Amino acid sequence: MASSDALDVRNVTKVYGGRGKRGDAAKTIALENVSMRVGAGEFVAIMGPSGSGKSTLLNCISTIDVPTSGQIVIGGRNVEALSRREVAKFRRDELGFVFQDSNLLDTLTAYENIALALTIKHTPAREVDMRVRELARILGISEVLDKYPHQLSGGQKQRVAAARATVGNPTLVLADEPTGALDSKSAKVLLETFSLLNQRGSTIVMVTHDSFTASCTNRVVFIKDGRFWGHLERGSKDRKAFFADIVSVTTKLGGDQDDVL
Amino acid sequence: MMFCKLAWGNVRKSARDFALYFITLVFGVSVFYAFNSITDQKAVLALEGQSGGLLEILGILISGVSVFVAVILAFLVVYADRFLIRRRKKEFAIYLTLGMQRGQLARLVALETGMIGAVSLAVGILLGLGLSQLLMQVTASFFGADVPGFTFVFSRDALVGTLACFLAIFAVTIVSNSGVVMRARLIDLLAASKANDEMRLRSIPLSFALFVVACALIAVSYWLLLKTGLMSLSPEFYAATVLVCAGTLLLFYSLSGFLLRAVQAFRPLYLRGLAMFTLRQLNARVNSTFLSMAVICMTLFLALTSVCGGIGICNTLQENIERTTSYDATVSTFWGNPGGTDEGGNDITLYDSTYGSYAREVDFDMARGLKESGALLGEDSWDDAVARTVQVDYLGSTTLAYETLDALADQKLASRAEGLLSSDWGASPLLYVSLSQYNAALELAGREPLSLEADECALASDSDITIAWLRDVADANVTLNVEGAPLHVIGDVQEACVETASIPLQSGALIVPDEVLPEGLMPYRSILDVDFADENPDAERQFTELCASIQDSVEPHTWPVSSSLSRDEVWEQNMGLTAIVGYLAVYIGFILVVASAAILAIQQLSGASDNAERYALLSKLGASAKQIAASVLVQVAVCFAFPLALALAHTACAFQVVADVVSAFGHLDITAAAGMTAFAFLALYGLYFALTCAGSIGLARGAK
Repeated sequence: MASSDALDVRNVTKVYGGRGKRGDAAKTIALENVSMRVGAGEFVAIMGPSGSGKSTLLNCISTIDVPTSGQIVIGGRNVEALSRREVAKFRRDELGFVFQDSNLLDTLTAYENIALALTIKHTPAREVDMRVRELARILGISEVLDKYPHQLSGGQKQRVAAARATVGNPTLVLADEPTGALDSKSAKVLLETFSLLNQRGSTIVMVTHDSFTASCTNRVVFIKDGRFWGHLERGSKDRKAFFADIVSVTTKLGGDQDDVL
Repeated sequence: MMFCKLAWGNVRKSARDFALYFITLVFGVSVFYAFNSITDQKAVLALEGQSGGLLEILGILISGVSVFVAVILAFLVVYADRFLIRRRKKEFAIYLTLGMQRGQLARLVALETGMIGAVSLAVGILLGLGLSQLLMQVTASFFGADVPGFTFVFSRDALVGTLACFLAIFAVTIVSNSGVVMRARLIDLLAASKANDEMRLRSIPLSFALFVVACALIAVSYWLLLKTGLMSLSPEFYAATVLVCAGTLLLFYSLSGFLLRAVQAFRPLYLRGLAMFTLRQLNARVNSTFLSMAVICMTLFLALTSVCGGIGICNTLQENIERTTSYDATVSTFWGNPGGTDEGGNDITLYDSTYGSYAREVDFDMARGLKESGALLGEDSWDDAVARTVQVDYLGSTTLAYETLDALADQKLASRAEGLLSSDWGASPLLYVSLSQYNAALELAGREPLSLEADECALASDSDITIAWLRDVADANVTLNVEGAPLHVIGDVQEACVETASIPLQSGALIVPDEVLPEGLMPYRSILDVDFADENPDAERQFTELCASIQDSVEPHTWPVSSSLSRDEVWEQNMGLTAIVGYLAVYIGFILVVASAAILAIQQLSGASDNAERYALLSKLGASAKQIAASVLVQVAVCFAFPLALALAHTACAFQVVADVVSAFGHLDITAAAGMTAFAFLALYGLYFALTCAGSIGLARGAK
């Protein structure tokens, strides 16, 4: 049944500009007829060279942008049909975000940053405290809960951000280059955190251009020039083998690009 | 040309930031012009004599106050402009990296300041012209003058003054801005947004403790002030001033930390919606704004006291006037303390002078003396102007002094009227008025006479300083030795004002039956209450001229006139004084309130725009627009409400004390005054609050 999918992207096209008098000359096609599905409990990476449209796709999925045509269904709901008010409610109930630069509120402690995702929904205080502390324990960030973001390392910040994104049990966790600003060791710890969260039931869609990061997922979707280009399943391969597969595909992707240049 | 376009574009782009700045400038310019144009209303309203003179005094006072106002406005404009400039560091960095010269950048900024300045000056002066018409109507009603048809009052002096003042302010601003721009280094400008994000976080338990200390300091200063009063500038008064300033500063320093801590104690409240974000935000902001919040609190306090005090004095003057104008006119003669000398050892009594011997010639009969003196000086006939007169003599007691009465009172006079008493008040003899004279005066005013038994006397006072004290004495149910006769003091203290005077100042007298007064008691003061001849329309002018000429005359065979006041003169004086005090209070209060509110508003708006990213993040996390708006509203409200609340508390305390000072003029009616003031100025403050809220919420909502 289709509704068991956490995310269903159907023939999404996104065109920027072109509505002015100058006509089609100013048109930029960012996405063209892209479709993809993510089942509940999956951990999926979206890869593509810069300018491929992967960020646009993520923005459309995360309701920050609206597709020109096509449908995006998350948890059985059509997101492009939501009203402004419903969008806010939808984001807080169904989505979790992890950004490249962690984007924690610098005036709040780590604990408060995580709790904020729950208090916005008016979760009872007792439950907030319980859930934040439990998740922090699982993710190994209990000791830093009372610290402010500027007192945390980059890796710790991203793990706090990951905790914030998942504490409310959203249908879908969206991560935009979460390892982009981290050194390789911190990146590895963060990816382990994501795997852990995934094993605990979170559905995660991650945009990345890093093959290593992508190799930690179950499946990688490739996008190029705004179009679906192909995808790789991890299957029963170990991470190293999956990594090698991804690298060969990205080399090909990049190679094509070189041909264009 | 290119520059103009860029400058204009910049102004338009940040219209929201500039809007409040602009409105404030327009307010400043228009009020500055309107109040400075008051002197020129004299010609239009054809005010002459005393009213004209008072208006001129008002003009001089307003020019003086305007210097102070100009300094405040200059500070405000420079401050606001710096705030706006600081927020644009990144933009400036782009100009510089694109190869713009520092000098060019300074010129660009100067051009922007000039543009806003020119527009606000023009709009402000137009508004000021309208406002000055309104003020003229108010002045006219104060002085009972007619506004001749449709007259447009235009004051060239005020216009020139306003232009000069504001051009100077803009010049200072441009120089100050250029300094900022010329000194700026590109690296600092580029790093500006990063520096903004740096948090100075203070220990929250410490804030909590400091808050308690701040409250204690303020409480102690209130206690000191209430205990010592304002009359004498005692060490306690200075201590109270220092403590209240320190307490205010500390309170705002620790306020946000305290709020945070207090709400944190209630987890369900703290972990609800955006509560913790709002409080943390306040805490982060107040670090940089506590100083200005404290200054604004004290400025509002100054504004509230000056306006409440001013309007209170006006009300008091208006209330008194009915009481102090029972007669068409009163002439008074101060004989002085018989045999007394002043500090220089000079004889200060009229009694033994040549005028005194003339007074003896006419048997101390004022009406006769004045009539003869007038005739001697060739003035219009006394009888033409005057229909009826009553003379009241205040005779010095040889057996009773003020300290005799004070010994009988529960609460001593010193504690009721501290600072208003001369050093030797206790030894001053009590003054007698004979019952027949007193009743004649009451009758002339159309009042019921006082009746006393042969062994009774009555205390009388028309001054608020001593009435309560005399009641205290009368309640003691005592018998006084009146020149050897034991007289019982009746319980009622007589409060009627038996003369026409500017301010009721007869602070204590004893009304006694005529029989007990021996011959030869020295008068301290004699007054003659006059009723003009109704059929003579010129009576007032004739009488005033007659008295003035007698008073000015050096001819020894004339009556010694110390002062003469007609009812109309008192009204004019009173209205003039009301106008002066009222105008000054409103002028100062208005400028102070606008300046404070504008600074708060600019700070909050720029804060909201600095925090745009945070609001964008909240929105991504799924906070509804309503939740974000509520959070912004609370932040703005705290920054506006707390300085105001504390200023109101300071004012309430100060007024307990100010009321004592103003009681010299009579009873101070604070409640009505406070209500009026509170309404007008809260409306203005509220306008700034509303604009700031709307602007901040717009900035937070627009954040992407």
